[in-house]
Amino acid sequence: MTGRLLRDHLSLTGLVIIILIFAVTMAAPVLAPHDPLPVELSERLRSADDQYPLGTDPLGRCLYSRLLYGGRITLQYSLSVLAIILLIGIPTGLLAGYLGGMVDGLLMRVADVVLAFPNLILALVVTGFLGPGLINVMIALAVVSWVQYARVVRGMVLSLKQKEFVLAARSAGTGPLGIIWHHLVPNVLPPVVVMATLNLGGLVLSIATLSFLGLGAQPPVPEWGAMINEARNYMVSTPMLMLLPGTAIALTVLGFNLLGDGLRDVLDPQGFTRPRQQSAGSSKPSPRLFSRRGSQ
Amino acid sequence: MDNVHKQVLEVKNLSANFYTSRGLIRAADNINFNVGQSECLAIIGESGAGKSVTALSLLRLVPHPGRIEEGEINLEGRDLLQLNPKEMRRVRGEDLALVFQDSLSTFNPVRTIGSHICETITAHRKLSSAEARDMARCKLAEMGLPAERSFRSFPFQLSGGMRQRAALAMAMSLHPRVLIADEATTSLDVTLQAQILHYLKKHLQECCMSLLFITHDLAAAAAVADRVAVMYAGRIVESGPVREVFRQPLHPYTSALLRSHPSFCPGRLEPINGSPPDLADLSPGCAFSPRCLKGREICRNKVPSLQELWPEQQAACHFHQARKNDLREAAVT
Repeated sequence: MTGRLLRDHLSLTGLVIIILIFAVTMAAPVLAPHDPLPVELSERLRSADDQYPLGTDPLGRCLYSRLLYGGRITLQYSLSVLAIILLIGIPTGLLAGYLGGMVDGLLMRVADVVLAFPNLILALVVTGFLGPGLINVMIALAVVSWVQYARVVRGMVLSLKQKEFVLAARSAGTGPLGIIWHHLVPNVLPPVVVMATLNLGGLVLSIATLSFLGLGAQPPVPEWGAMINEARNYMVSTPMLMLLPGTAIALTVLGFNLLGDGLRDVLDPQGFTRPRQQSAGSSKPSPRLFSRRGSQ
Repeated sequence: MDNVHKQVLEVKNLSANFYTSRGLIRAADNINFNVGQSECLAIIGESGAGKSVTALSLLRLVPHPGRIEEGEINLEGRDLLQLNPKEMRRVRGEDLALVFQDSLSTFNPVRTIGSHICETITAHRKLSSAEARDMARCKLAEMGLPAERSFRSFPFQLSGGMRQRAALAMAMSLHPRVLIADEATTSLDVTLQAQILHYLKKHLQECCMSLLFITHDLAAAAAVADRVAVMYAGRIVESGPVREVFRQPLHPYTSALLRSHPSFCPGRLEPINGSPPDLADLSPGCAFSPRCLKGREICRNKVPSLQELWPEQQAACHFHQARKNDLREAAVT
């Protein structure tokens, strides 16, 4: 499995990007030449030199250090949001799918309501309601994104529980919890891992977006989206201030997406997480059909 | 066959219905049978005759929209239909185990064979995982499998025969009182089938286990069973000791079945005309009457009941019952 993933150039690139970004940001306290917070107005808007590898921002803070620390915050919060989403979404989907009936109806109607609004707009509303701050952004994103996981997991559980191995397990005396834990969870996880990886890129982007809008990280906390926002007034005179955090966000998202695509080919050949084919009359055979045939 | 068998499993008036959009389907209709200790009862019939539903009803696992309507399933004096879900779970696997036909779908594709067997063991026994693993390996070895390798294999890594033996090892892991083999040897080649049948027969005697052998393979049934019950359209149409039923079938369906099988008919084979009936749209009389060569007026209007026509041999057929009454009248006068 790992071999197949590493042989694919694109996913390997993604993996390398992700590992590099993680390594660099996690090592920020070691790598950063300056403290990212204190204001040093005498040093404002300096260009790159030995002391400041990427120059300074309008408040005289080292841009390089802020980028490194900013990445830490972005990644930390994205991962925390993801963890919350998974902890809510997977059990909800498992319950709804396995129990069916009233429980399923109730949970899925709640999911429908959440799905009816565009994600970012709803997140904006929730953050607006809770007030700005990274923790609130985290809650807002979790509220709007657990739904997709619950939906996907429920769908898979609905088809899995018809399988003969579930009947066989029940005929051997396994109880409902055993069925869920031993037979549903292991089968549900691979597509969920793929979804989560692809989703991480999106979460990084959402956190940056909300911070850019001033709802997430509050100054002076370095965060990529917030840094772009702070750099708006200097877009023409010092474009690097905006371009560097922008590139960092783009690279991270690209890395997660490439890795997620690769993981999907390896872990989810049946295409549970693949976006639906739009044109029915397309002349190209759909990759989904291909992999189906190949896998059976 | 001898009468000394202690009855282990007694099924009385068991009916399981399916409520579908096409109407009520009586998949198992008023089923009665007994299985004695160390005895093997074969249930034979075409596909769709209700054999598998009968098997699943015994475990109370009839799939939706099916339901067990009435009846009694006595396993060593306990009526399984009266147990609560928790007690029933304890019965499954521990007292009554089931082996399916398709061993590839019996196992979860993302888990190893060993973890399946351990799961069954730990569901019933309070054992540490190391003890459960040892027990599972031991069971696999007993079935003639390389214990360590098959324990760690995923289902798709084993051949069909090995997998079926692993499934059997799983079902036998807790020494069930009754093993239900639902077409368990059908997908295997003849040599392997013979091996497994031999193993099962040996096990019946050694472990005082009973076997409910569900199959459409008449030869396999003849090889392993002590008694046989023939099912047609959800009902048992004939039952009795295997030798008597195969040598001298009473029900026209049984004899037609035997005449269409090379092992029992040395001459030219005769197919049974027509096709199995639609269970949602059964005739009011004997379900076999449209295909029966001996069909009479009464056959189309009245369902024959299962009656003992010879010692220990029962059949549900108006033709024979009428003849028996004639004989009795002749004897009286």
